[in-house]
Amino acid sequence: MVKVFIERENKIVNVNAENAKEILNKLKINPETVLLARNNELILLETKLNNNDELKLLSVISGG
Amino acid sequence: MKALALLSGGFDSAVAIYLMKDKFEIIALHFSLEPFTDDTPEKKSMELAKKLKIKNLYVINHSNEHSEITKKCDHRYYYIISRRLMYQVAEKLAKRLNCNFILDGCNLGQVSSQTLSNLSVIMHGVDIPALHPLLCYDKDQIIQLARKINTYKISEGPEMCNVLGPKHPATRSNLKIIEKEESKINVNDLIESSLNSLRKVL
Repeated sequence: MVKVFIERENKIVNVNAENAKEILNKLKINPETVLLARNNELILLETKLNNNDELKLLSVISGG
Repeated sequence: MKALALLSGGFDSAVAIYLMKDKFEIIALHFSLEPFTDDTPEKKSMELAKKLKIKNLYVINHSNEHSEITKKCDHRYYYIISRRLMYQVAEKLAKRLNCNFILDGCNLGQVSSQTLSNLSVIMHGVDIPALHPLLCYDKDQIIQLARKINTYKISEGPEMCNVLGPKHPATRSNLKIIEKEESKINVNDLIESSLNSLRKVL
């Protein structure tokens, strides 16, 4: 189970998933809109997650 | 006169460019966050640039810089620190390209992070005039304009820079706090590495 902090909604949910892509699918969050930080390190969508990992979904800031 | 326009791929920046494009020669700059996002924002920016008849589009990959900020700075200030860094990079590029202005789609009040207080901290130290033609526009006006100029369908989808900004960020950012956070990263190195990733794609 991965603990996911959704910054924009300021809430924490627990999700059972192998990678971040699966989590975003389950939470219906478009991967264009967030950066994924595990222990303050940005990770890729496909990065394998471990049980008890804590993931933070940061809103994308891309200028403009 | 030339302006370096920040182009995210969302509604706002395209409309801002449209409003100003007859007044300046526009050079566009997109910050890419690949591989942490996919390439959709860059593709949208390319399509928007063509639609707006912009002849020059540059892309800077900002993923390592975002990564560094995420790793070392308080996440409450991530929005402000990221944007400050982008503007400093844009300033350097604007000077290199002999641009007189930076142009963006910034507007007040869409999200809690877009306050005058934050804008003032974000722009502090940027040594080139910045134009925000949409500053007092509301979202409906921007969307209407986007439909009128036929950029709506390209920009449609999740917005990159504004609507999906943090919902609960620091809204009265204090420059001293931000500078203290920035002392945890090497801003000059990050500006340089950003500029080293510069690509001309159009």
